[in-house]
Amino acid sequence: MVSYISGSEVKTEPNLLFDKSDSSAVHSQAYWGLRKFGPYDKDVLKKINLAIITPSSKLEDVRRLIQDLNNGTPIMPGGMPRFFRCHIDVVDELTIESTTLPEYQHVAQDFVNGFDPKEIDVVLAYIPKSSRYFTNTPYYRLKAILATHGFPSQMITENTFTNLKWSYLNLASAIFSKAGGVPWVLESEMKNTDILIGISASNLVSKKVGQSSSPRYVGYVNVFDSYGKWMFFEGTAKPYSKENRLEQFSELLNRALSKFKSEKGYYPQGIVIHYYKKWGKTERNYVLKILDDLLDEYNVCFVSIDDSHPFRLFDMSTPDGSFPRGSYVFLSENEILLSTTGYAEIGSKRMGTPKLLRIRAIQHPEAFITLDEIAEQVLALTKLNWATATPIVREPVTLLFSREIAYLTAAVSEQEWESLNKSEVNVVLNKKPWFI
Amino acid sequence: MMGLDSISERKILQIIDRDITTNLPEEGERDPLGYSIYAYFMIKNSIERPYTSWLVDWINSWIEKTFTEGFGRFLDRNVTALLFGYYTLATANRLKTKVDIEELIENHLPNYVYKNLFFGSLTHSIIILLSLAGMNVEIKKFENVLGSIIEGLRKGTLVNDPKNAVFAALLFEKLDLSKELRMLVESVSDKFESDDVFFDEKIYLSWVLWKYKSELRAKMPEITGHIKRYIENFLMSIGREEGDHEAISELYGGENNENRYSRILIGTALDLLVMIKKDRIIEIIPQFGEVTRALQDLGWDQVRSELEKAVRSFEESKYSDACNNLRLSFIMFLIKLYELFTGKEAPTEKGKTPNIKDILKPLKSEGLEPEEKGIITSTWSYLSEKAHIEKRGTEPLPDDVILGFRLTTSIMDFLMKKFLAQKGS
Repeated sequence: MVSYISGSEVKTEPNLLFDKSDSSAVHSQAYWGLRKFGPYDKDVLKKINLAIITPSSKLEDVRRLIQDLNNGTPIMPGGMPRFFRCHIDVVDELTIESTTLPEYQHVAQDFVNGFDPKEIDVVLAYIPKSSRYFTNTPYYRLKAILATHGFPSQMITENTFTNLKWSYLNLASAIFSKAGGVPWVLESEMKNTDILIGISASNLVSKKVGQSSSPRYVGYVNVFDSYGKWMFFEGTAKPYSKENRLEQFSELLNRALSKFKSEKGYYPQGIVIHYYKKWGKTERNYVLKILDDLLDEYNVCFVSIDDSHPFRLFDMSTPDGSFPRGSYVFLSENEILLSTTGYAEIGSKRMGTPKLLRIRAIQHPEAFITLDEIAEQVLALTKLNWATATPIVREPVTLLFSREIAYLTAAVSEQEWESLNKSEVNVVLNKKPWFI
Repeated sequence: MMGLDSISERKILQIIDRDITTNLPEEGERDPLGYSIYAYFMIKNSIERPYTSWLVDWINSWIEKTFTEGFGRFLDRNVTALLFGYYTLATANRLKTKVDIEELIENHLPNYVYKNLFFGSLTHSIIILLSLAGMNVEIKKFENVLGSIIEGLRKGTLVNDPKNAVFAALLFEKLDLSKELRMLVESVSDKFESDDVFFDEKIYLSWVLWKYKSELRAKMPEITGHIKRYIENFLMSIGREEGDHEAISELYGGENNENRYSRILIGTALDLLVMIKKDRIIEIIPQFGEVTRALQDLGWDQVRSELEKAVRSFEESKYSDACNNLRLSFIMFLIKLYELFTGKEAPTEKGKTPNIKDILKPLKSEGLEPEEKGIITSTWSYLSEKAHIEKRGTEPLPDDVILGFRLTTSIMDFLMKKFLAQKGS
């Protein structure tokens, strides 16, 4: 027996905006937008002060990389000055003789003791490639040590150099955003939405470096405005034990909403909260209680996005049979499966069958956005990862950023987490996506 | 290599035509500043296209609507566009809507200053201050914003976004900040000659250098040559996609260049092209620049506007139209003198050709010699004759128009020196 399900599609690929004060600087693709118009923030950074940490054997390669970023390459003609309206200035080079973890930790400590975060915008570190599942590696330890002292960092590995011509723009974009620049935002506002919050709770803090005997957790939020522009990161001030999990929601949301108000001048009314797990009733009620206390009038949409499901969709009318990017089917009245990596006019290079996003939405006190609009939002948010200019990205930035931080939290100690959220570090880091 | 004759604003006007006729109501809500900037440069150059009045009407109604309904969340964009649009229309006497702009400036604008800049943005700050200065609003209370703009100039962040240079130059000129203007022109000149400026954005730098080329002194001939060559290449590049290899398209998609132009850039390009053309006229007719500046100082905008229209008609090879514009400019100029000396309206009847002898009467009593009067009346006859193609059956020749320009501007120059100096205007 054949059953049918209904579906729809996001009609046009969301456009991106590449100038804060020129609303006509628009393109659907980050690469062409940057090439044609430069970044969204043009008068913030003229130069980026960069420090390098690298094995001495790789120093020349890293220097050449920086030179190429400044002078341009065939894929990135005009380099940083054209694509990001700034150039990189190398302030210091720290070399090591081996690629062992202790040596990286040692040089990182020397570095944080010797420099002020105001003098260095980004630290570029050449590290050996390691699996993301191992936390006690140069990648995580270096990132943690640097971040906890207020230094955003960008890691490169031998893989960067094996695929160098395609790495330049992604590296440049990540360095620019970590230095405090905004490369691009969405052209149009997301309908009826003032704030988008990517929330993450119950992330285990490393026990290897920490002192606690019982497991401790942290939570954090990434806050985006109606243009999908990442605004800031807020973490719980201190690690907590599992039974206090819900209380952390209160701390996070309170801080996020207050900070939003101080930046935008108004409290949000249309609130969308993305969570990579299914929203439980208790969690929802807890959030509602916080919002009731804080806001006079609001609408909130609890959105769960995950890919842990067995569904696959195909479309025999597309050239490669994949379910097209932007298309979705309804599993129920508040649940869809959205394809973000299927066939698309923009950027044809893809691999494998699209892994669909299952999106579930619950709204309170009443529906203020449709499921179609939520699909459009999620698709738009896949285009806002400033660490890549590739047009087809699978996950929305709300989840992507949460996961990046989750990897990192597993590598930091309780003390390091607390340092990250100290005001003197927070003031430097919270406007820079140091974790991407 | 194309010749200088290929430097024409026609291609740019086609882009503006298409943008306004196909996108205006919807896109205008999203980019009111872009459309205000179109209007600013079109009105400044007396460019009247079939859609110009529609654009002006739209800006009028947008200003009114935004005032009534509020700025919404797009405060930075809307406040900047509103002030700039208001300034553009008000100074051209084309503002039809009545809104309490003073209330906005006095009571709200100070609240939008963040980090010593309006909305924390250099571009918005420059355009807002330019609008205020253009409306003769005292900007003393925004000294901190002006200070930040000058600081941005010193640090180089201002020119880092080249479009800032255009509006900052206009602002410095309006505020008589000659030292800052010179510093800006020098830094733009350095940037123009460096490699770190994107091809399209050289339009902004070229605009500044062309407009203030007298500041460049020894470098002037070389720079103007570079700009002319650049402009030719820019015009040729319009609508053409950059030729890249397939791999880029495969990973990032095709460029899809259609309609992907910044409105601020296109507006600036239009103004630059018109400036270059006017300079060609100035090369041929030495008094042209001096006369148009004097007319601007007197506030005789219609006289100036017709003179500038004559330049455009001439460049478009519409020679009888050019003579007609000169004729209108000439008679309006004489009418202005009549009104100045008599304090009365000139004896003209709607739909009828004015009697030049009547209009010259007050000047005669002020000392206009008979032979001078003879040259004026002959010039009037010459221009009228050349303007009326239906009488002659053929278009005047370019040299006829150049003679018309020379006669018109020489007489205007002469009369202003003789009579306005004596009147102390």
